[in-house]
Amino acid sequence: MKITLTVNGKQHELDLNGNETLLEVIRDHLKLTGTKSSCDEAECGSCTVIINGRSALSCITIACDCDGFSVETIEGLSSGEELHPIQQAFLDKGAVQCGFCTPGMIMSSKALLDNNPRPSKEEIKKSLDGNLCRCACYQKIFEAVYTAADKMAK
Amino acid sequence: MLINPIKFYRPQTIQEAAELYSSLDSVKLLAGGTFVVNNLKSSKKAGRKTNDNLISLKGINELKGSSLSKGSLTINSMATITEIFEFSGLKDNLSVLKDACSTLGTTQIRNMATIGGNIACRYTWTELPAVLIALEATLNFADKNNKPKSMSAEEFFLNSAKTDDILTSIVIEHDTDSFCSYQRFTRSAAIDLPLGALCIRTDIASGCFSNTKVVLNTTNSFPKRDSTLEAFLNGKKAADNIADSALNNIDENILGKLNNEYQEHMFRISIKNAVKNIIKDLKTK
Repeated sequence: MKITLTVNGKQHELDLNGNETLLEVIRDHLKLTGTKSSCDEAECGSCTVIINGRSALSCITIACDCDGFSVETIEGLSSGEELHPIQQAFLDKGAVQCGFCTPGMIMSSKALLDNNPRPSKEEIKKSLDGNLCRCACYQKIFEAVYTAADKMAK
Repeated sequence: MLINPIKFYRPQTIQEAAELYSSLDSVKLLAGGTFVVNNLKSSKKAGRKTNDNLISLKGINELKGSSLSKGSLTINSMATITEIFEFSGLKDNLSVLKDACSTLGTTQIRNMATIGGNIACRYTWTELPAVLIALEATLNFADKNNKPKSMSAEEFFLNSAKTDDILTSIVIEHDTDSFCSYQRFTRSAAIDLPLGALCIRTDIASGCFSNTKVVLNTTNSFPKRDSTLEAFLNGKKAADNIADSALNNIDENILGKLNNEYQEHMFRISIKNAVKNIIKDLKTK
């Protein structure tokens, strides 16, 4: 089945079997391995990408079901050497330990800030409720998102 | 691949989907995918056979969106849970739908899951059945010949009515006079699946409960109406002390369906809070 997928602004024509998940296509076909594969059953949020402006789990999305959609992954955030303000805030606040959940956390945060530029602390917590951090870095992560929102609003 | 080979279809109209659905064998419908795709993956992992054909309803524009007009809310079946709780028309009796949708799953699940998929999967541990029954929702389907059919949510869930039709929309009357409360409880704040969800809907006539519906769904059974509690509440004055008395008038058969003492305790607290909320709303209205 032939589909068109726009990933990080670049259009891809793909010929798929129909049983590939979006995560498999992003990582194995497009070689964008920043999006992580972890639980593979919609529990952990490591595979979070933004589909048509909303955070979504690529591990339970059938790639063929995204024909014509726009997908953003962690690779699309930085501009050359310059990190996106959310990425920079994660570094500045020490919100990264092992780093495995970080791409998913950042994509969920970006989806939040794109739709709600000045979220409250409660709104940040709520919007990251589908992202697990096994290092339990949550407090630093929430602080990083809050800081990024502040910077981006200025 | 994490999913067995499958032939994928993405029809653009209900007619096209109905035709495909009737002509294919070993076929599964796909809405938001949060149940079905997980299920396809776990089945492959367990070595179980899965369906040969998958029909996605995501390309069908007729199945998207919600509207509120002439006193009723129509939610098309492919509306996502996020789209529903962001819908500005959810007021009065419809506010419990907003409450239920805003706590369902996680952010990503709410962005992906659809109300149609949530209903059609008939899982016992989702929140919406209790709310849809209490609000007397009507479920509209298209059969395999694309002929419309309707069924109440109560009939669909309580009587476990089987249907192989495509759910197209959910219609709920917007009632500015009734009072509703929704409660859910989980094992901990970090767990998204509810152990129980409870919805109470009532009219208040001359200061008394009337036409009350109490619906509970738990992780281990399909939703049930508590007719004992409904009978107790109907005709009683909507006063503060009724919340405590209500706890002595719960259907013991429903309590028997709960797994343990903790769940039973939480169910009692949920009932008490729901009744209290209704009385509070009555005072402020």
